[in-house]
Amino acid sequence: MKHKVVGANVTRVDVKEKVTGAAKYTDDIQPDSFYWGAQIGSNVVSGVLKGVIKNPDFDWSDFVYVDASDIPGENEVESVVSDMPLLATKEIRYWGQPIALLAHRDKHQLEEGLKNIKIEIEENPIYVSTIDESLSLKKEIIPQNIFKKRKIERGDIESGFENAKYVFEDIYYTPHQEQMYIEPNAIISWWEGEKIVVKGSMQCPYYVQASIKTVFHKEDKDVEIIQAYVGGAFGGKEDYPSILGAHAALLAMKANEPVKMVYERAQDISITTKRHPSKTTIKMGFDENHKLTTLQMEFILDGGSYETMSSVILARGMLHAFGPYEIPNVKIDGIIVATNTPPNGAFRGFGAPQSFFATESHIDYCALKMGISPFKLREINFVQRGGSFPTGQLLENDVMIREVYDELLKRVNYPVLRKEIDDFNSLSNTKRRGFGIATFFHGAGFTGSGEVRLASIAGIRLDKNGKVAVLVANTEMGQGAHTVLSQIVAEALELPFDMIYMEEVNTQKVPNSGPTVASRTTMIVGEVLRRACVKMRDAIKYNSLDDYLEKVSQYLGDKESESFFQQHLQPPKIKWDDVNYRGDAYGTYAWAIYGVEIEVDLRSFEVTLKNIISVMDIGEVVHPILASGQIEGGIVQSMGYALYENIIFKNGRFWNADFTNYIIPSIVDIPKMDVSFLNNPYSYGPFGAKGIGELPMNGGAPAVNNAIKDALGIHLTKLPLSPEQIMEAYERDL
Amino acid sequence: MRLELVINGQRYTIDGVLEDRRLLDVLREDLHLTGTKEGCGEGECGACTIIMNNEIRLACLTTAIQANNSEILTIEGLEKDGKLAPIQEIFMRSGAVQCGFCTPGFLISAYHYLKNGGSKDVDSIRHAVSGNFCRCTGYSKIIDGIQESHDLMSFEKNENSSKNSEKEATFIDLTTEKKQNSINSNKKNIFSVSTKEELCEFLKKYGSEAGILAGATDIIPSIRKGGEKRLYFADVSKIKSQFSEIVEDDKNIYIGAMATFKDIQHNPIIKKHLFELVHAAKTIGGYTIQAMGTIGGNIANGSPAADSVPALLIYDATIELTSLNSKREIKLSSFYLGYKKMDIMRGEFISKIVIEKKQFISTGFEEVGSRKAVFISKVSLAHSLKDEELILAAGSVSAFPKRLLEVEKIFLKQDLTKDTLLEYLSKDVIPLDDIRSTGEYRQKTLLNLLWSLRENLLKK
Ligand SMILES: Cc1cc2nc3c(=O)[nH]c(=O)nc-3n(C[C@H](O)[C@H](O)[C@H](O)COP(=O)(O)OP(=O)(O)OC[C@H]3O[C@@H](n4cnc5c(N)ncnc54)[C@H](O)[C@@H]3O)c2cc1C
Ligand code: FES
Ligand code: FES
Repeated sequence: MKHKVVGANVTRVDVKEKVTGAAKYTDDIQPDSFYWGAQIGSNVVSGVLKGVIKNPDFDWSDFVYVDASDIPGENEVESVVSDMPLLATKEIRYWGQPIALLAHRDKHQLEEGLKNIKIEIEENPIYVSTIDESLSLKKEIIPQNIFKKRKIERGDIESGFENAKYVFEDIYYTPHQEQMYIEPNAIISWWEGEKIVVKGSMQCPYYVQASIKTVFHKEDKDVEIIQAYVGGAFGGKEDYPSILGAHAALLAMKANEPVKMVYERAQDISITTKRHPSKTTIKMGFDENHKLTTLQMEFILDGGSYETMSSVILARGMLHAFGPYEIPNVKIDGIIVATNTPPNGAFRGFGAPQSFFATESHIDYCALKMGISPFKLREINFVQRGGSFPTGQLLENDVMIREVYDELLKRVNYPVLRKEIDDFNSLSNTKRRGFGIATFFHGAGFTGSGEVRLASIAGIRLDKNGKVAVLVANTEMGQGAHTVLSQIVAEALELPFDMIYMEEVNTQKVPNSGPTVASRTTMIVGEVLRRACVKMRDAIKYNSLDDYLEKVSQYLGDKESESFFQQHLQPPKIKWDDVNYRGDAYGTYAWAIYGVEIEVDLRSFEVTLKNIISVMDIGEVVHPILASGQIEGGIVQSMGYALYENIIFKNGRFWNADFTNYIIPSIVDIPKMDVSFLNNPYSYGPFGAKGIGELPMNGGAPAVNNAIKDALGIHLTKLPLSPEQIMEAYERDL
Repeated sequence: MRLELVINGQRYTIDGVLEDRRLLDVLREDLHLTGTKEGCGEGECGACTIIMNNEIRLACLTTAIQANNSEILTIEGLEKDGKLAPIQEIFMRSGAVQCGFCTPGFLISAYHYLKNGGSKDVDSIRHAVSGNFCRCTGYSKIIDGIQESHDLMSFEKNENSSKNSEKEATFIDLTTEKKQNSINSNKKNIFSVSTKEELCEFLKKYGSEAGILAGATDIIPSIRKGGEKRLYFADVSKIKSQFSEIVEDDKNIYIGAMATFKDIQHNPIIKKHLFELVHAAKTIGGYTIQAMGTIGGNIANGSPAADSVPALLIYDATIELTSLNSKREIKLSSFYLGYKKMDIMRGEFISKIVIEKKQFISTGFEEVGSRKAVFISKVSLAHSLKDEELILAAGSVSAFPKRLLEVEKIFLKQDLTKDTLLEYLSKDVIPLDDIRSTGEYRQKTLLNLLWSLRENLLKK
């Protein structure tokens, strides 16, 4: 089907403000008079809070101070599991854990005030920082240090391994990854009578609303949450604004004035949520034809010191862990452990980058061990149309893994590339090149019955002048959501793009269309909107733009506007069993492959990225430039994850809390990328679109690892693939 | 102080500004020009990039006193008479903008690059915006956008000059404004000096309490982190031009200590004679840091990772120290006495670097870092060879960058083994673990770099 607006590179709806500097991000909002807010955090990693002492000789008159006793409602952070206090009262589980809050109109006075506050904590010198330490029970934060366990099972792994000709096992580790949005977390809050208003940099206004309602015992109508321009989020502003928003609102309650909280970079890195570190033990069994018959995995995530939303991240990680393969015997055990680190949270990919690193690295390792090419091994084992995943999910026509794979080999002209690489390697004394691939996928939307539970509502509002406002709570954080949703509405209504505009994302103006996470906005919310558009067209039967305005004014009569809402409808075929983890984990999957060519310097073992090729099936591409921008941005984040990014600890706290030492890729590190799409439309997505936001994060790390394996013949199991690690492995294998 | 600025063609007079208030806060808080962003406050991210006196600059590392009487262009000034600059139009449709937080910084860096005749070459573009980080786009579409803008940007002569600024000035009085913050709450005293003599007297008066605010790229991050103990700083903006000349005579090259790394990398004399210094200059921070940071500041800061130092050591550079009534010269190789300890006396400052012109058989400078721009090196190695005279110098492997005197002795001996080389290397340096790498990695890498250098030299 040919579309008009969908598929066109329309101008982003938010872009003019962004290129002129007019866009107001949270810190750009400057009320005439307001307070700066700050948090008073724990200065130990573990202990028991005894008290907070304010220096009696210091002049506190212009300060506002808040501690847990000021909380009108519950002292908790609303999440999947609300086990974290908003402000600590007794137990301290990590360095920087919020204990109290302070505000002043003058930033320097605020700093002085902070210096005059002493936190008394009975320190517990024993703490656990890593998964292995946690499992050793050197210290028990919660019973056995285990927050949650889950299981996926199919067939019989024991007989599977017995009958296997080859069995290989290894353990893979991944570290914390910081989202490193360029705009740090920022929130401003004020009260209007009984109503609390919170405006800020956030992904999920309705999450913040839920959090504030709990903390203040308020009704929906008394909590207004507004999204400001967001300077990047990547999951890092999914749950944290629920904390920061409540903090600011507490201070504003006592200040009687707006309170602004803007984290400094070091603080943002030190205490906000990160990607969960993981430890994955993986064992694969193959028959004599190299068919992967058996997979056993233990997938452990470091949840940090409170469980919060870790269980859904674990679920997604496990539900991608088996890779794009058909495997008869599978057992995957998922575990979330506790450590004395800030609670980990959402980051693009949501558990899947961790499990794919293990699975896609291990496939290449097994190929090397069995003496067959990793390409061939994948060809033998790819899941086919009509095949199924270990949850029992039947995959019908939307399996595209073989197609993206074939297309990639064609694009890189593999035989020629192979020869080039081999020739180069035989001539160079100090450099080695290698090429590696990773094949992967991502399920869009909430896992399992998540979307049914969310029951998102979105809508459109027809104004008198014929313009149509899009009513969604989904936020624009750079990914282009507002442009893409406007395109879908324009297409569905067959109206010109410029007749569509976005309503402010404000909980008092837009319905709860769910959080802006899980690659769900285009596919799920877009489809809800498309259906809302059908409602409008059923109500106002216009034929074309020619009779549109006339029909609109007939329909509206004296009314200023009319809104059309729609609730999410689960596609009929999806069945999910939450208890046994059986069934259709996701409505559909987007499929992808990366090919990465690298060069290693044999003196310093630095890795240079030479070439990155990506082929993906994301269904119908709504906006080609935005889509490839999402992929390129995701690739670069995944290259950071592969090569550089790592949180370094010192005495139990994060040490490298700046851009100089937390290494994200710079513009000089990244070669030109070749990004292409195969369009296999998804029948339940708007005009055939699938979700894409997280997909590109999943494959970078294993592809680079496999390229290093190709270049040097070494097998690495730990991210980041640092020169230090490569040097050690290379010398060990010599 | 009274701060006089011309910003985007508009003249501003602001009374009662603290000397050490950051230009970033003046723009954002006092003038409500919030297009310039803050992403780190420490010179690392590039979100606060502006143009000041036709030079690219970070507003978070610039104090009010340094900005006084300057002409500034911010993102708000790219649009003229209601018309966007072509590069803005192109960024709008090329996908160069996602969340937009890095965008003002990138636009300003790119605008400055193109305005100064930057080419379409991808590597040059990368270098020009290397001080700007973006976490959203993956950079590709930013590069495309800059390339595409290349042909469309035409620049009128004297654009943005004070021409428009004849308009009436906007006057702002902050004298009674209580809530005015500066770099951080540890108040520092900054004085502007107008002559060399004033500088020397200042240095003499405050001794170990005194510092020189040259590019401020080391000092301001250090004040912010609370690591800067000194209380008094001399802003040398007014005398900078006297001390940043790069000249030559028959025998020597003279580099003013206040020359920036950008001055150095573009200077024809240096390009001709001191190629490794150009190389080092291009790897310091990102481009914005190169445009601000001075070579004198790099030497005087005394960091073990100071990148210009190994490159100067191989040319056997001499530094000139000036005080009120005298001057003295000292070899750079004997300037450092220990970690952040230098042979510099009360009242002295580094005025010049003097390098004798020589013809070398071979020179080189190599750095190993954690990424390819904006990194602090894990190891660096520089060498020069002239007839029989070999100099090897290394950075980040000891308390200060130093010559590898022991290794030099045996380096080109025919029967040298890698083990013997390591033995000698260990007499020169014992690298340590830190936040960026391990001592072991540093040692092995340096050994490997030396070994492959030796193979190359022996071939010559
Ligand atoms: C993001 C970032 C990245 C960086 N990357 C690098 C890098 O890759 N490599 C590297 O080597 N450095 C790097 N630096 C450090 C810094 O930019 C350099 O050391 C720079 O050369 C310092 O010069 P400056 O003029 O800015 O010094 P300032 O900060 O002005 O001064 C630094 C010190 O030198 C003293 N001083 C200045 N001028 C003189 C003089 N003429 N005589 C005597 N004393 C003087 C000052 O009192 C002060 O103690 C980086 C800094 C930042 C913020
Ligand atoms: S704010 Fe990051 S460089 Fe200035
Ligand atoms: S567009 Fe978001 S940081 Fe560059």
